[in-house]
Order: sequence, then structure tokens, then C-alpha cells
Amino acid sequence: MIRTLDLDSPIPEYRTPAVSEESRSIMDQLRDAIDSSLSTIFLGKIKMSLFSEVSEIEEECSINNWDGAGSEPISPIAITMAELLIYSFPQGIPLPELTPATDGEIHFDWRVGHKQALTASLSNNGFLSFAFIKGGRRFHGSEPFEGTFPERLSDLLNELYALKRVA
Amino acid sequence: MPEEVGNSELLARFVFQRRHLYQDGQPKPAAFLPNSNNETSVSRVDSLSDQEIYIEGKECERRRTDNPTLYGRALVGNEVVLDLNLRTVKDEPPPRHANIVGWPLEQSEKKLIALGIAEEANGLKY
Repeated sequence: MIRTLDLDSPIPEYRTPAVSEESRSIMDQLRDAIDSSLSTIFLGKIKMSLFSEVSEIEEECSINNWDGAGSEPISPIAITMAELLIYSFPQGIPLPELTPATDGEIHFDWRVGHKQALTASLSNNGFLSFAFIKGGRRFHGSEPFEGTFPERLSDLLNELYALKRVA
Repeated sequence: MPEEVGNSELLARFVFQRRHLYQDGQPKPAAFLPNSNNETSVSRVDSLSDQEIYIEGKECERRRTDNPTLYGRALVGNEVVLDLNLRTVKDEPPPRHANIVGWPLEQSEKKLIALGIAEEANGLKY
């Protein structure tokens, strides 16, 4: 019989009354390891799809006036910055939409519903600038990017999606 | 001195970049970010029907020299723009053309204003 692994199915519970505490502990560790591997695979898939979107944007928007409104081309540096930000994505991060913008940067947009959104981009100077709206609460800011996904952005995403901590 | 657009006039931002709209037609903040002159180009479409607004968008598409595709439009009342401390000034010809001006220089502040306008806008994908 051929068995295949369905990545979307929950991991089955294996419980028998006769297992020792030690065996149960090993099984729990094994389950955690599988969970972690599947999360890594899923995160890998998200990153791959975002990298290919970045490539598409690079192709479409790397010339002057790419939008007919006199916009700066999306520069190789802006492409690299977007890729660095994607590399830093922690597990559990919601999938953003990528948007080329008139400032020559690639924006990352997360939107849950009306007046519940976050937009961010990583500038050539290494600062991540962002704006956040959730109902009447709105603010903007910028954070230095040092290779790891900024904690402040993780917190805002958690608030936006009402998830447990992303990072 | 450019003439100000009326407080409650309806403005249309025509979208020529497909990634500036979400799947459901709602505009993203990038759709409203200003150009290199720190202006966002809009059309005054008060009292026009949806069909007439579409025709106005096609007219904008035809006038441009870069052979763009009209992907959609986002409508927003000028009161939203004024509430965010920007102004809309007439800039004709072409007829009905205006610019949203008064954008701050700071990047994240621009993002917040563009996000505020986008969230109040009524978007439609063509």
C-alpha cells in the first residue's frame, strides 16, 4: 500500500493506555518536531511565493516612469531590501501583498478589513517605515532594520490579526 | 493661486497599476501616494454616473503617452482629504483634473495619510 503525507491534515493523536510516561514524552517531542518541520515548510512556501512576486515587480517596474506618473524605477537596492525583509519573516506571519510604490520602494500590505491595515517598506537607508490603522487607533513610525523582523511590527501584526505572538 | 476644490466634491483616483488594488477592488495606500512633485493626481467626478466615471478614466488612459491599462478607480470625498490636513486644487486642463497637495515629506507620515484615504475610498476593479 502506498501512503502519502498530506501536509494540510492535522497530525493524528496516538494515545494508548499502555504507554509509559517516558514513551509519552518521546512521542510529544516527536510531535513537536513534526509540527516545527511543517511550519518551516509552510514558511518556506510563503517566502518562495513572495520572492517570485518580487522578481515579477522587478521585471515590471525597473524602468523610469513605470507607472506613467513619473515614478522612480524600483531599484536593485529596493529589490534587495524587500528580499531581506522577506528572509527575516518569522514563523506564523500572515501573508502580505507586495506593492510597487511611487517612492521606488516595495510596500508590504496587510489588511484584515475596513480600517484594519498595516503598510510597511524597507528604505535604502536601512529603516523600515510603517503606518498602522485599527479603527480609531492610527500611527506611523520607522525602525532600524538589523536583519531580524522588528518586534514592533510583529506586535502590530498580532494586534491586527488578533493572533498569539508572531515571533 | 490655484483654486481649491469644494469641500464635499467627489474625487476619482484612476488606477493604472494592477498591484495598487486588492483582489476585492479596494485601493492600497500606494494608490494614493504622491508623485515626485509631491502631488496625487485626481479627477473631479461630482454628479457623474459610474459609467461616466469609467469614460473619464478611459479618457485619462488615452491621454497618457505610456500606453497604460486602466485597472480600476477609487472614489473619495474631498472632506476625507481635508480631514487629513491635505488640500485639493484644480489643475486644468485637462478638464476635471485636480491635484491633492500638501503632503508631508516624512515617509511614514505619508504612508499613514495614504492609508487613511485608501481606507475611506470606494474602490472598483474594471
